[in-house]
Amino acid sequence: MIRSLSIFALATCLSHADVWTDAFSIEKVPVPPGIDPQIGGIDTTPGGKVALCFHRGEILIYSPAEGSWSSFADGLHEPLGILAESESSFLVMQRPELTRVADTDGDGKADLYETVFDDFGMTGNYHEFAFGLARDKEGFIYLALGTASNGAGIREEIRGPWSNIGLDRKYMLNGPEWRKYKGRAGRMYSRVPYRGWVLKVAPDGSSWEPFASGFRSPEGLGFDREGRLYVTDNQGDWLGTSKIHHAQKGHFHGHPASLVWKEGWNREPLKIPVDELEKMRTPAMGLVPQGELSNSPTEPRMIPKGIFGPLEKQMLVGEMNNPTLVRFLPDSVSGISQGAAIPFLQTRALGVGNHRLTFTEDGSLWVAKTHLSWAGGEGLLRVRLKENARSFLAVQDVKLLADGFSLTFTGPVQKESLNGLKITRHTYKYHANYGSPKVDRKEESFKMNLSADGLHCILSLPELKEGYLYTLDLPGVVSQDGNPLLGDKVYYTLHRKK
Amino acid sequence: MKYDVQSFTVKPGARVKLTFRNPDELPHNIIICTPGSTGGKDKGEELIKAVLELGARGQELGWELKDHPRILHSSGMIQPGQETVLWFKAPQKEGNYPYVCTYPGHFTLMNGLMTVSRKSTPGVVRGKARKDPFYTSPGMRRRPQVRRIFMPEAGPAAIAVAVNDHLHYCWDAGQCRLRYIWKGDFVDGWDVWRGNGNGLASIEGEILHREQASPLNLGTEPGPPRFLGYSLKEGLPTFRWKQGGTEVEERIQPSKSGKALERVFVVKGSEVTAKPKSSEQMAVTVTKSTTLPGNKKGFRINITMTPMP
Repeated sequence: MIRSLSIFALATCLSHADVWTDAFSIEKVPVPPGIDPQIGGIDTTPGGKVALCFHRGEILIYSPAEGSWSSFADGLHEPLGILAESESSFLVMQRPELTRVADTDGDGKADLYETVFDDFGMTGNYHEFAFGLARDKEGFIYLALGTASNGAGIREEIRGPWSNIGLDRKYMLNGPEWRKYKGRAGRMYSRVPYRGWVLKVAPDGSSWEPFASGFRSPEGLGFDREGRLYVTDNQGDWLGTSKIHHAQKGHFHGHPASLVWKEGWNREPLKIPVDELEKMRTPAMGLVPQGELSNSPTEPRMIPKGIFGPLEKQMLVGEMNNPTLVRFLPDSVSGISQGAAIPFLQTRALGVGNHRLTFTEDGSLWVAKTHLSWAGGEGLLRVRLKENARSFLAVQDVKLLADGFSLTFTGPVQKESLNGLKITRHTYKYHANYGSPKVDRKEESFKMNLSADGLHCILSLPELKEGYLYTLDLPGVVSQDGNPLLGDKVYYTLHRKK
Repeated sequence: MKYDVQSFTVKPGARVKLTFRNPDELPHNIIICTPGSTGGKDKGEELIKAVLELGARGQELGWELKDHPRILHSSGMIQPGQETVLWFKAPQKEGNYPYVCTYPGHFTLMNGLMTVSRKSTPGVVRGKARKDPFYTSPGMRRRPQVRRIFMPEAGPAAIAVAVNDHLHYCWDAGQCRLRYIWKGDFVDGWDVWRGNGNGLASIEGEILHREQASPLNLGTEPGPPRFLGYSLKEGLPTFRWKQGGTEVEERIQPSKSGKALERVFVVKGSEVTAKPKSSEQMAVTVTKSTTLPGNKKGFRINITMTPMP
């Protein structure tokens, strides 16, 4: 008993040191000079190189084996996603189009910029970002289009058809008058197609379809091992807090501006009663609490098999404003997607601006940063699990039970170290205002039972409430061999009880 | 009367070679100053005031106060038609180091800024001072260059092309047509790049020619154009698009002298005629129209666009 207490005391001390950098190395990879080091997209080529696209339109290739950079292409317009098709061909999501950038003559430099898909509108509003990219098992490409912000109006010349639903076009123009009218435009607006939608495009551009609607600023897309398309969205109007969606074909995910482009739709989105929208929307798979975990979630990326030990094949999500990534554990209940978000690499050494993620076979996670003048960062990080940290402790899985939660750990935990566990729940408002306070917050009483092998912790609550985010606080938890818990908060989004 | 180099950027501790030529009819010097208490914002005026206080003695001293604390490096007074070379080591401390001519009355026009920065790209900026720390980087200065960015007088899917050092054009991928040609320097994209895209690039020159509509008349029902992208040859793009069943290619390249533009359309799948319009500052003429061999109707049209003298 005395022995185990002393280990516990030591572990408590350790938790005040940086538990993450004890297990993971985080190193900065210098970007070549003369390049604005804001990275819009990153992907791994089949040959194990890292392809990156930058704020001012360059595509650079980094060879981890040689530690060398080469320049592949340039001149693209704010690219925010890249997918490697081969060593010499890349799909890039730039503001105006999805483009295949390829080297056809074998000199290592792109000579073909082929437009794969540009059947969407642009008003010239700065917030109409084009985000991507994700590829499904059949090879189809998914991209997402941001809505416009009433921080600015539109330009005289636009691309694509204009929707007459909403404020008259003549009042929507940029200029000194805009300030008078902006309040009537909607905080975020979608007046050209398909702003606020995820689109599915054949890789040769021969066909495409609007896939899902209801997004505000859908920054990142990625598939998990079950084939679920994760799409992240940012706190703002209609989003009480930031979200990780499971985007599904034909579904509406909550931000009404995009409804303008739904087939047969002719109503002003700002005038639809919230109750009606509530019935239409598919709630987010994961709510990530503003100010605590994530203010601006970015790219979801699956940890490949064989990397990061017990966390292989789980989903990571980037985060712009907090020095952390998010690990998401989906838990489908009666066909409803929900699950748990857990901080990952929550350390100052990671820093903020974590925009795009990729992995290479040598076990490295590459974190590409940007800011676009908002909170964020610059440059490229390489994260590796340290040789001596193979047996780190983390929450392996979280499942909802009829009366509570089951936590599975990657290794046996010390029972006494669970004594600080605390559970609270709260929800958010669904409304046109920007963000939401935490609503109906309550600390829950619960019973705890740790399995004999120390791996499973069952938490039973007197009552579970649908539509709430449950925060499981696990301070000071340590494994039986003294390792601190990496990621000591679990945020479970509960829509459907068991 | 001004320095042709308005600002330049060097890395801390770099070896710098500065050649100062005086093509004017008056003597001039260049004195590089420390940032001083204003961090360089006074443009070196503190030194100028001290020199003016010399009064009549100034001329004897060559308008230079050799032991003034703001002076880092001085060329000495350079007579008309003369030149000198200054070698020096850039300061280790990052910051703004103004340079001035201390000859009385010259300062208001003759001042500039040496920036010492680890992050910015070393280089020289002629003309107006630049805020963009990457303005001088090789990627931004390369000619020719294709750059997709928000442009004035065009749709949001605009493409700016630097053909050579003097001639540039804006092509609209939304409408699949040339919008305008300008001469001078290329673009300054800082208003777009400094933030989240809320701005337009500025044209660093004078627009010579605007094209209000495509000069092509296709023989078939055209329909809306569909942009197919571009390929690069010798750094210049050949744009491709489709209108109905017709495929069109357009390439704009410099003439042999580099002073005019040669524009080539290749049209496949329909009859075509071209009626380009000249403007006050640019003569636009069809120089050649060729029928291409093959089963499908195909035509090549050559157009020369020459700036007016």
